[in-house]
Amino acid sequence: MFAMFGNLFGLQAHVFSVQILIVSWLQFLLDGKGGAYTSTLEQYRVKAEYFLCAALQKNNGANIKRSPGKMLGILYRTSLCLEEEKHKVLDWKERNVLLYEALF
Amino acid sequence: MRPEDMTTSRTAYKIDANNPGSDLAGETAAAMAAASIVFRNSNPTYSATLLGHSRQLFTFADTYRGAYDNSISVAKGYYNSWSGYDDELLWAAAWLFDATGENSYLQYVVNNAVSLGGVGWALDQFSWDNKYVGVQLKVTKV
Repeated sequence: MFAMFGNLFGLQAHVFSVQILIVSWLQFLLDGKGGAYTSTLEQYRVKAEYFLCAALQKNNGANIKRSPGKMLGILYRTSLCLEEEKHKVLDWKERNVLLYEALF
Repeated sequence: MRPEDMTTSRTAYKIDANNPGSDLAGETAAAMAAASIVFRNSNPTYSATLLGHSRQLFTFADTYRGAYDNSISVAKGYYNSWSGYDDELLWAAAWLFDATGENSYLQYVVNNAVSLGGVGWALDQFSWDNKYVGVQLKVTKV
């Protein structure tokens, strides 16, 4: 979602993300129709917001790396491929640890 | 270049019950469920076909679990399924809930939230491999 809108609309990706954030908060406050599912849905929402904040560069330093023109999110694949040559097969959790170390 | 214009070998591979690929089938189920929403008004017949196959693929993906690149090992050199298939199972169920409104699909996303890793990880990528962020965003709008 982020890369797609970043490509098409540039800075509007920010606006879009903020809108989702606000809508998600409002929906939870207003209807609470998750019922028995509410607590699990809430956990999903927390993780979704981490991503949105990272896209907005407001995640306390743990942000998605952006290209100089702010148009694209940069994935970690290139740097991690080098790590993989050293470590051989990593599971995806290990990859995320390396991703974090590589970017921040 | 269009695939039909390519002159290199175009080998086809398959997944089945003995050679499963829950990530591949799950992603395809999600795509078809999403497409069924797009065509719901303009082409209801096509939309229903998409939804029917999406349901079948999700059941197949969930029943016969396995990573597609274990069944199609040549894919490891190109599109390794790093994140496994748990994220695609949730991704498919989330889109099927969106397309059908049937509680069973939402139930799947909720009941398997922990076991399939849906609420375990805060991530900063959404990619061909890793769908968790997409699931988390979709569920936010339930």
